[in-house]
Amino acid sequence: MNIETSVQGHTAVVVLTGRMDADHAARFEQACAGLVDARHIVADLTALTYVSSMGLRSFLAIAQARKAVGGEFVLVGLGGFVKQVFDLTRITALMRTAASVEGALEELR
Amino acid sequence: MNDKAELAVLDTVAAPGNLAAVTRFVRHQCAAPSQDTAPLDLIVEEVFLNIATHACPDQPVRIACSSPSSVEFIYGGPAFDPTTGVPPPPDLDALSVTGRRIGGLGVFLVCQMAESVSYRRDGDLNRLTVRVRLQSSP
Repeated sequence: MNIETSVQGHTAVVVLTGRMDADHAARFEQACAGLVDARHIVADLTALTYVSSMGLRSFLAIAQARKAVGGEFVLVGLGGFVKQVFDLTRITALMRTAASVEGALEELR
Repeated sequence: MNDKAELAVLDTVAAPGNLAAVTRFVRHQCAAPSQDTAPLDLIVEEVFLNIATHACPDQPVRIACSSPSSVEFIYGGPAFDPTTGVPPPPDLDALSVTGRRIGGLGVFLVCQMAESVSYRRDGDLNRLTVRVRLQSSP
C-alpha cells in the first residue's frame, strides 16, 4: 500500500493506494498520528482495494484520536471490497464520509 | 493427516512474517486467475495472524487446501473453537466512533466472508476448515 500525504490549511489529505494488510495498517496509523500540524484528516480510499480487521482497528483508532483533539476524520471513496468490510462490521455508519476530497475540504473549512 | 484427498499442503511456522507466503500458497491452490481473491485473502490473514499471535506463536502450522476453495488450518495450542468460542458481533451497535470498542472483528469477518467455518479438536491439534465461494473479478 502506498500512503501519500498533503496538507491544505488545517486539513491533511491522505491518499491510500493498494492493499492495507496488517503491516500497512500500522504504518497508516503512525502516519496519521504524525500529522500533528493538521487538525483534520481526509482519507481518500478510492484506490484502496483491500482491508482486514487490522486496518479497521487503525481507522477506528485514528478517528478516535482525532475526536480527542477536536478534529475530524473523513473518508472519501469508500467502495468495493473495502466498503463491504466496513459495512459488515457496521463501521461505515460511525465514520464521517464525504462524496469527494474537494467536498470534504469545503465542509471542514 | 486428513481422511479426504488433499490437493496441497504447506507446512510453515506460525509467525506474522510468513503471512505473505501463506497467502500466495492458498491463492495459488484455491483461486482461479480470474477470481477476486480479496475474501480469501482476508480469511487467511485473520486466521493465520490469530494463530501466530494467540494460538501457538512460532509453532508449526499446516495449511491444507482442497477443492473447491476449502482451506484447513491445523495447529497446536489450547483447544479453542472460534465458531462458538467468542461472543458474536463485537460491539456492532455502538452509536459513535468514540464509543466503539476496538478489536474483536477478525473472527466475525471470517464467519461473514466464508461459506462455512468448521472446527474440531483432534488430539493436541486444532483443525479449522474454512470454505469460501469466490466470485469473478469485478
